Amino acid sequence: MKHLSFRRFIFKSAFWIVVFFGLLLAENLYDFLYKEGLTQTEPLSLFDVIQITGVIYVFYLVNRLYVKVDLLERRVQDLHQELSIRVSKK
Amino acid sequence: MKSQRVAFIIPAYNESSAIGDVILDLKKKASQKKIDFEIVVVDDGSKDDTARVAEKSGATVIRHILNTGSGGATATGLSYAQQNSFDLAITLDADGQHSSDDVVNGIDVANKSKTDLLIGSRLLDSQGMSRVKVLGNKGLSFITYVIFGINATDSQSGLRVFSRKALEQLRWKTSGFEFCSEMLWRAKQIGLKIDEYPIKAIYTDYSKSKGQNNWNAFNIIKSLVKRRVVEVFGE
Repeated sequence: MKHLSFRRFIFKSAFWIVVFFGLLLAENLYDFLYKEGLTQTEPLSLFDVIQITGVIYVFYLVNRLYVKVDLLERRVQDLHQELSIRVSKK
Repeated sequence: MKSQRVAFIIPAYNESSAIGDVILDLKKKASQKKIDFEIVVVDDGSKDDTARVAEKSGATVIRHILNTGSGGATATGLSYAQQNSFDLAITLDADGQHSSDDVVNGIDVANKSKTDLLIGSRLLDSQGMSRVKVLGNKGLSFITYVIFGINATDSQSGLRVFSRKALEQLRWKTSGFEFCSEMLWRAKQIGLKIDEYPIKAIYTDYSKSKGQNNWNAFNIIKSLVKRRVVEVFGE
């Protein structure tokens, strides 16, 4: 379990660092891409940024909920398993 | 020298017509080899007389209140073996697909090779298996390799031998047939020694009607991919 937690820590740290620098450097990145002719899209308005952030956050919440439901399901399975063994021992 | 205690775990769902013979044959073979054993049948919420037939044949029966699937029933049986301090646990199918000789031989193979999770592979010598079944099992073994990086010839085999270490440490999260693949992945994650040995597959008209069909493979793959993604993005 320690091994799993360390890997997860590394993964989550890397994920949020990428998100942080992505947000921090988004404008610079856009300027670079526009200057090099790699994009022709108009810059996003503040409303667009808020909207996209909101959608991504909703996906994040859905994932968190799914993980919690999954954990609950496993706890119910473990409870059922233990009950079955104890009842059978009587 | 203290003799090794072995638990034979048989997850069963609606197997009243076959379970009696499976238990009696296994009892005979294990007694001949003078093994200290207990046969444990996990009745996974059967609608027929599986539990009664198993008890009458001399097995210890654990009854699931609800049907949880093959993975759930296997987990219950192994948990029972772990709680009762068995040295080895062997799972086998309840439909008579596995020969008692192969089941009992697994003990010697596991002890000699000091394997934590020994899989009885029907594909190391696939005589007796239909081409469709061979293809289906090879396909799922390939999927197990792609998703989890586990190289096993028969990832879906129900005949498995678990060491004491595996009984104490091995846990999985899925409860349907996909647990066969997930179990290998979890074993690899915690550093258990995994190996295979050749077994015969006994297919009767009855056993062919049980078990997985190749179309079920899509559901298994879907469940395994979902599990993999949840592990990456979840807690």
